Amino acid sequence: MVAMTEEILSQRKFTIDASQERVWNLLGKVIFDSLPGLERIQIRDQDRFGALLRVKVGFITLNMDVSGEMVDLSPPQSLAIVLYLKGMWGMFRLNQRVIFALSSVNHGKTAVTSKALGEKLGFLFRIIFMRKAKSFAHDIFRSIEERLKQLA
Amino acid sequence: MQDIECDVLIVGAGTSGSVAAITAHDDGARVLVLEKMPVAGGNCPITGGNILTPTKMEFVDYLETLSFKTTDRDILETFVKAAMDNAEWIRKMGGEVVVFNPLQVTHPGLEAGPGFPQVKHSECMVKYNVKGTEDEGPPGQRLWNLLKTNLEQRSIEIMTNTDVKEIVKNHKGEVCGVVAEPRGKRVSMKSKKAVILACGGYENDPATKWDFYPAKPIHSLGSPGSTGDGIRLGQKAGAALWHMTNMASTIGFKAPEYEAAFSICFFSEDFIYVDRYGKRYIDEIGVEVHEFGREMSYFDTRRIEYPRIPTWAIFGEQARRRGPLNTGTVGYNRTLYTWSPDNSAEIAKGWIIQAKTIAELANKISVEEVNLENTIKKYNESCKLGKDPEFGRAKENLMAIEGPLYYAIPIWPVLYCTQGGPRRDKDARVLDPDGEPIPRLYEAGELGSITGGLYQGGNSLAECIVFGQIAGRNAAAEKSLD
Repeated sequence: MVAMTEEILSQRKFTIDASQERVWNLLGKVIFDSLPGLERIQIRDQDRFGALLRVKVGFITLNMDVSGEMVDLSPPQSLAIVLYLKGMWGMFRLNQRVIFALSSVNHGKTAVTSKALGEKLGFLFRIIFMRKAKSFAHDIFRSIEERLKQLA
Repeated sequence: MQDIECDVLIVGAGTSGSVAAITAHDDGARVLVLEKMPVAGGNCPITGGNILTPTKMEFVDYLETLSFKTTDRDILETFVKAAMDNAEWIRKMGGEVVVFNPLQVTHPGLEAGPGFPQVKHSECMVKYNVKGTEDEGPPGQRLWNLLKTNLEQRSIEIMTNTDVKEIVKNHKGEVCGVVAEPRGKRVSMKSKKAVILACGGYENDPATKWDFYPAKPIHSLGSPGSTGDGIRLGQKAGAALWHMTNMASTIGFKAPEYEAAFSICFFSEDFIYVDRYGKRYIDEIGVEVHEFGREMSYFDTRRIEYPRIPTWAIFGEQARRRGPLNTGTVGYNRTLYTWSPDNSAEIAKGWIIQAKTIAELANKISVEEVNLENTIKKYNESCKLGKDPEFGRAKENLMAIEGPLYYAIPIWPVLYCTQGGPRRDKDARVLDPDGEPIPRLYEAGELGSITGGLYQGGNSLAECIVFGQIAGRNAAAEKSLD
């Protein structure tokens, strides 16, 4: 159930023609590969990292500070990352929870459910960037699906 | 002249020496720890902090396979049985553990699971870290904090800047002390029960490395204090040696202004390794991270050279931007230098070579232009095909090397740890060439490690904890020499 403060940015379900183990092994790499603007990754500890995310909004490139925290890492079933994004000197903020759930289906295939939830959306963000955030999340999930299908 | 006297003398204040000291103290012995460096800790605070913990006794088979049967099975059985309680020991010391299981993509170069999953019973293990917060430092530092707290709580004395020169025996051939040089002054120290050697490997002893390792030069990631003192002390006391050619080695960069090397890894897959002729020789991502040295140590007898030392890591713009080539989580340089997040500072220093074209890059690193261009062309074609026919790099690891700028950094084999040293038995007793224990001489940790072949990550710390306890317990149980 989605809490009142959360808003679904995007969700996608698809099936990959590979075992759950294989999809799990590819997933982390594919998520990061699907974020070409992700730079300057720094390991903080086992569950946390920091980075810079360059996002194109129209003609401008917005630099967002990203902090990521793995809140669920249950191989090979589920992965959840909370991303704290902050840009323009803190004027724009987005806490995004990204969830992936994997389950085996018939004939060695794997069903993948992906969902991105926006949390604690700042007022300015909601007014100006909500549409962009949704299409960004949608594009990322599509790219993850395509890449997983390619590699499986 | 006997200037100092105690029950158990421990040479080395790293992980195994600290565990041995705590154990011997808790068993009622008066303990003195001698450390030649200005500060205690050895490699502990700068390791990855992974503590191998077997979950089933079948793990003995796995280790026996990796050791090519150079380690007696009873030693491996003793180790596995005791190491299954590693988490419990950490808890007993007041710590807590967490399973090391990060999202691999954020921890390139670190293995969460077994290093050799193709070997039977590899699944019978986990790796633990000492639990803590980001502010308490990386896992190795947290382990050291725990050991240090326990040493302090027991008021166990550590004499730093104290170089041990000799092991002393009595007329019966029993070890009864050492000759040491605290701050350069020669002092005899009597041990009424035993001496424990826990002074690490020989990562920083060029002569021993030259004799035993088939690659030159080979650098070290760890403490400059690991200079093989325990080997020489053991030899002079009549010890047999074993596992001298075994070392865990990754890849790294060595800057002349730093004593230790930097480990190198990539957050993005647009990179390859080439030899001095500009040719790939390996599946760069398929090598177990502790065994790179074996791959790089190929010697060309026709050319009379090591063509893979140094190797050049060639990479593209994404790899350069994606994250620092040195993550700063392990190694002696961890607290001495912070690698820039986008590698720009290291380009400015000239550590990383930058060029506008592959040809220019080849010229800057003195590699034949045509070879490097062909190698990258071929590799990029493999990326397009999703198949690496030459070296079998997995398709998910294939990413084309693209500009606008191209980069290279020289990399060498760099040591995590060495395994050679005096031979020991399952009771941590040091053995002579006939297999007989040298009375009252014990050993623990990396020095004379039980690893006899391929190195399983996390084994060193596990061994320090297990054999530190065994050595400490057995040393404390010796009858006093009064």
